[in-house]
Amino acid sequence: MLGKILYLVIVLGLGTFLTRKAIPWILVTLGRLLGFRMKATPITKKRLLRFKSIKRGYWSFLGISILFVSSLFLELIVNEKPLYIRYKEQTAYPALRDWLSLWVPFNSISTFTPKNKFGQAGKSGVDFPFFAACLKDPSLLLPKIEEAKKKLERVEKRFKRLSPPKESDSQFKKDRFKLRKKAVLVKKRQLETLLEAKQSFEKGEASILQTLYPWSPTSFRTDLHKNPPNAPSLKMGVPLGTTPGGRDILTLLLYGFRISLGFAIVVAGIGYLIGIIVGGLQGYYGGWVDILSQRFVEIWGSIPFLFMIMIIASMMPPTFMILALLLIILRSWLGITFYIRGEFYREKSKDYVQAAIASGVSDWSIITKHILPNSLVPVVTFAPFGIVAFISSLVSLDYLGFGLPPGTPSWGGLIRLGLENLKFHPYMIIVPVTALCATLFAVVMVGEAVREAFDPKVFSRLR
Amino acid sequence: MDKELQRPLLEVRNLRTYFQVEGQTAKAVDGVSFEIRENEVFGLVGESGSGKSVTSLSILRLIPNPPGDIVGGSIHFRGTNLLDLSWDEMRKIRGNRISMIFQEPMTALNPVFTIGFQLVETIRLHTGCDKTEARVKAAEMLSLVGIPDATKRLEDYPHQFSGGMRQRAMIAMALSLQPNLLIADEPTTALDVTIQAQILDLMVGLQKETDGASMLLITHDLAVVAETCQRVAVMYGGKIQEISPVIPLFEDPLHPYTKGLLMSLPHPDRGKVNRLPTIPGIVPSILNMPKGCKFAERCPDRFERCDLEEPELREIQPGRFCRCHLHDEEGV
Amino acid sequence: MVSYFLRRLLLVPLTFIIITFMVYAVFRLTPGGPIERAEMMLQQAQSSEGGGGVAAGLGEQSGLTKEQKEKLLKHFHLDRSIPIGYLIWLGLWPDAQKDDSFSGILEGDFGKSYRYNDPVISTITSKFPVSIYFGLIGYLASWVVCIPLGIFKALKHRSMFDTVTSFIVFLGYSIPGFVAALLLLLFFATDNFGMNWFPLGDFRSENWDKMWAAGNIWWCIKDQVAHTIIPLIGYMLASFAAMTILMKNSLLDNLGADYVRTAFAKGLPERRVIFLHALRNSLIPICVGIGNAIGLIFAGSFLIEKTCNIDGMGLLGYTSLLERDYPILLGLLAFGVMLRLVGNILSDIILALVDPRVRFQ
Repeated sequence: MLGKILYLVIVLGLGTFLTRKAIPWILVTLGRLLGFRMKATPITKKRLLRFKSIKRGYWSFLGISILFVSSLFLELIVNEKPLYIRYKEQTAYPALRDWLSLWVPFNSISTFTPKNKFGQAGKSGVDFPFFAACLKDPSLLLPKIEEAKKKLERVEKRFKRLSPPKESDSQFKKDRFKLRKKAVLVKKRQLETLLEAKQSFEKGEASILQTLYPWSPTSFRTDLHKNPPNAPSLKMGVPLGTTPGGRDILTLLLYGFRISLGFAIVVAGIGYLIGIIVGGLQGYYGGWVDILSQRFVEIWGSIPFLFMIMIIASMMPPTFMILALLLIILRSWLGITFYIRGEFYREKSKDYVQAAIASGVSDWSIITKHILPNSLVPVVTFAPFGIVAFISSLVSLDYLGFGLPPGTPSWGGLIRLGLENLKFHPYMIIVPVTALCATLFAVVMVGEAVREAFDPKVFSRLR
Repeated sequence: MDKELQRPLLEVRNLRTYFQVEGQTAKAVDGVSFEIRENEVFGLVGESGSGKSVTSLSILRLIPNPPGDIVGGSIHFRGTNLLDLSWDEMRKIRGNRISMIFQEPMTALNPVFTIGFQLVETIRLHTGCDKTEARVKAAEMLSLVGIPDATKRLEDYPHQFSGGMRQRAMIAMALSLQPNLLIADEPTTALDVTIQAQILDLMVGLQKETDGASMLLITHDLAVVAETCQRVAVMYGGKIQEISPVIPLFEDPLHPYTKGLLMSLPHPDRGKVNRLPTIPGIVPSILNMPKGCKFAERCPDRFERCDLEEPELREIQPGRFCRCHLHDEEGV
Repeated sequence: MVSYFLRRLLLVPLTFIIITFMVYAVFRLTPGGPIERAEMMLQQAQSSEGGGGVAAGLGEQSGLTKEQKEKLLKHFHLDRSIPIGYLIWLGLWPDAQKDDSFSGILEGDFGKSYRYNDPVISTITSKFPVSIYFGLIGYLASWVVCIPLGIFKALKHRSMFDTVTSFIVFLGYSIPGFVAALLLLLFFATDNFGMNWFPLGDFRSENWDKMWAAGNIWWCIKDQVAHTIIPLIGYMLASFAAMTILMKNSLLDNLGADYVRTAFAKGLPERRVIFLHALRNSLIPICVGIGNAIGLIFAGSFLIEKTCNIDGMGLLGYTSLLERDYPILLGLLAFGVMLRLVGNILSDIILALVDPRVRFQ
C-alpha cells in the first residue's frame, strides 16, 4: 500500500515537473528555433501575474495540465500488464512496452507476452491477473491442475483406443492417430507446465511488479465472482463499478480522459494554426482575398458540422485521426479566423507596422515579428473554450455512436451505456457525467481566468 | 454688490481624489485648491496624467467608484458644498448649474439616440417644458452653435455628424440650460486644428454672451490658455504648482515647471532656434510619487531641500501663488 | 439598405448550390464510403461474373444491404460524372431517366425516403411543430431569465450574488445540454432517488390525443408541461449561460462608456441612464443573436431528442443515420444549411433595425 502511494506521488510529481518546467522550456526553445522572440513583454508578464492571482483558474489550470501530462504515462500506472514480470529465467517489462509502442513513432515494439514462457499453458498473451493471484496463493492452481489431469486422462483414453495405423490404412486413420497423439502431448505439456508453475511459485522463482491499478480498459473483471455489471465497491476493488460487459469503469474513465483531452488539444491546436494562417492572410492582404474568403467562411460555417461528421462516420467508421481531421476541417479553424483577421487588420493599420512596411521589411518578418505576437490574445482567450467545445463534440459523437471505433475507451460511450441502464444502475451515468462535468468545469474556470487576466472588465459605477 | 463680486462662484479647497489601482493608492488629485470667479475663464494646464481631468470630474462628482473616490476637501458652489449634497440634489446641479463638455466627441454622445432626443431629454429634465417647446429650444441651440438646417438635423444620429459638429452638439447640450459654470475638458484635443479654433471661439463667445457664466477650461495647450483665459492654474503630479493671472504667467513664470513649459513653446522674439527646448525626464508614475517636490526630478533648479520636503503653495505676488522652495524667503 | 438585403437574399440560392454540391461531392468522394463501394461493385459486376462476391463482402463492411446500395446508385446517378450527377440530383439535367423513387431536389420534394417511401420534404416538415415548440419556448424562456439576470449581475458586479450566480452559470456552460437532461432524468424521472416526478421521455403521453378529444384539457396541459421541462432545460442550457454572460458583459462595457458619463453629467437620474441609455446599447448583441438561434435549435437537437426520445427533426436525423436513409439525410443537411443562411441574414436585418450606426452598402 505504501509503495503504491509512493508510486502515485512519484508519477504526479513527474507530471508536475514536466508541466511546470520541462514543457514550457520545450515550447520556448521550439519558438526560438522558429524565429520568434520568446521573451515576455511587460504586458504579457502583467497578464501572467494577473492570471496566477486568480486562484480558481490557476489551480484548475495546474490540476488539469498535471493530470493530462501524467495521463500520458497511463500505461505505466493503470494497466493490466505488469511493469516487471519474472518467471524462472524469463523476465519482461510488458507495461513499458505498451507505453513505448504508443509514444515511439515508427516502432515495431511488440506488446505481446506469450503465455507459455510464463508458466501458463497456451499460446495467447499471459493472463497477468491470474499470474499475480497465483503468486500470492499457489493453491489457486490446484483446480486447474485437477482439470488438466482429467483432460489428460480423457485424451489418453481416447488415444489408447486406437492402434497405430498400418501403411495400408486410409489417410483419415493416419491423421486421426497423429492428431490424438499430439493432443496427448499437448495436454501432458500443459499439466507439466502447471505443476512446474506451482512448484516455482512455491519456491519463489517468480515475481511480478504490478501497476498501480492492475486493470486495463480492455480487460474483464473476472476476479469479482459475480455477473456484471458490478456496482462500485471499494471492498471488492472496483471503486467505480463495471460495465454490463464486465469492463472496469475506472480504467475506461482514465483512458477516456486522455483521449478526450488529447483529442480536443489536437483539434484546437491544428485548427487554430489554420485559423491564424487564414485569418492572418485575410487581415493582412485585405481586398478581394478578404472578401472571397469571408464569403467562404460564412458558407462553410453554416454546415451543421456534427451532422456532417455523423453522416461521414456512418459511411466509414472513423479512427481518432480521421475524426480529429474532420472536426478540424469542418469547424475548429473557423471561429478564430474572424478574430485574427480583425486583429491583423487593426495592427496593420498601426503606425509601427506602416513604418516597418515603409522601411522595406519583408511581409514574413512583419507578420511574425510585429503583428502576430500582438494578435494572439484572442487565441489564448478562446483556446480553453474551444477545448470545452471539442471535448463536448467528441463526447456527443461517441454518445450517438458515430465517434471513435467501438472498444475505444470514451466518455461518450460510457454515458450512452448509462442512458441504457438509467433505471437500474444509476452509477453508470453518474460516474462518467461527474468526470466529464468536472473536467469541463475546470477548463471553463481556466478560460474565465484567462479572459479576466487578458481583458479585465473594468467595473465602475457612476451615480 | 461688492461682496457678491468677491465671493467666488466655485471654491475648491484641498480636494483629494484617490484611485485604487491593483492594491495601491494612486493620488490622482492630492490637495488641490483654487477658485473660479463669476464671469471668468479659468484655465487648468498640465501634462497628461497630471490630474486635471480628475479634478474637473470631481467637481461634478463623476468619479467612477470603484476604483476612484473623493476622499477629502470641499467644493463650494455658490456657498453650498457639493460634496455634502445627496445624489438627488447633485443631479439638479449637473447639467443645469454646472455642465460639462468632454474630450472625445466621438464617444460622448449615445450612438443609438438622435441628437434631438439627447438634447430634448436634457432640456425637459431641468426645465419641465413639454416636448414641442423643448424641440424648438433644441433647434435654437443647434443653430446657435453653428449647425445649419438645425431642425432637420435633430433627427440625425451622432454618427451622421462629423467630429467638429458633434462637439458643437455637445456644446449646445451643455449650454442649453444656461449653466453658471461650464467645464470644458480638453474640448478641442480630438479635433482637427482648423476646427479647434472655431470651437474655441464659439465657446468663449457664448460664454461672454451669457451673463454671469464662468468657464473652467482644461487643456494642455498653452496657446489656447493665452488666448482665452483670465487666470491659470498649472498642475503637476496631482497638485497645483502655480496659480496666476494669465499675462504675468506668460511674462514672468514663477515655477520652474511653468518656465519649462513656456520654453518649449515656439516664440517669435527668441529668433531662430534649431530645436525647441524640452523638459527632461518623464512625469513620475502616479503610484510612485517622490516624497518631496513632485517636479524635483526634472527640475533644473533642484536643491537638497526639494527632495526632502514638499513646498507649500504660497502667495508670492498679489494674486500669484507658487509651490516652490525657490520663492521661500526662509529657504533660499 | 433594401438593395443590400435583396442582394444577400440572391446569394442564398448560390450558397445553397455551392453547399449542396460540396455535400454531394463528399458523398461521392469519401474514401471507402458507400458510393465508392457501390461504384466498385458496379465495375466488378461489369467486368466479371465472379466479382459480385467480392463486392458483397465489401458491402457487408460498410453496413449496407444490397438493396440500399442499389437505391444509392439510383439516387446519386453514379454512372455519370460528378457535375452531371449533381445536376441530375438537383433535377436540372434534362435527360435523367426519372422514376417514382426519385425526382430532383429542386422539383420540390427532395426525393423519397427509403424507409417511409414518403417525400422527404413532407417527412421533414411533419417534424417541424415539435422542433419549433421547443425552440420558441426555450428562446422566450432564456430571454425572460437571462436578460434580467444579466442586468442584475452587471449592476451587482463582484458581489456575493454575482459570484454565486456566476458559478451556476459556468457550471451550466460546462455541462452539455444532453448530459444535463440525462442527469435530470436520472434524478427526477426514475425511482432511484425517490423523486419520480417527470416522465422518462417522449413529447407527450401516448393517450394525449384521446384525452384532448375527450376534452380533458387540464390533464393535457399538465402532461405537456411535465414532458416539456427536462428536454427544454437540455435544449437551452448552453444558450442560457452564454446569453447571461453576454448580457452582463455587454452592460458592463456600456456602463463604462463615455456617453454614460455624459448622461450623468447632464443630470439624468441613474435609473434612466442605466435602463434607457446603457441598456438600449447593450441589447444590440443580444438581439443579433436571434437569427443565429434559429440555426442552433436544429443543430443541438440530435442529442437531446435522442436522450429524451422526442420525435423532432433531430431524432429523425438520428434514425435516418442508423437506417442509412440518405435522401432524408441530404434533405436535412440542405435544410439545416438554409436555416442558418436565413438566420444570418435575419441577424443582419435585426442589427440594422436596432443599431442606427449600421448601414449596409
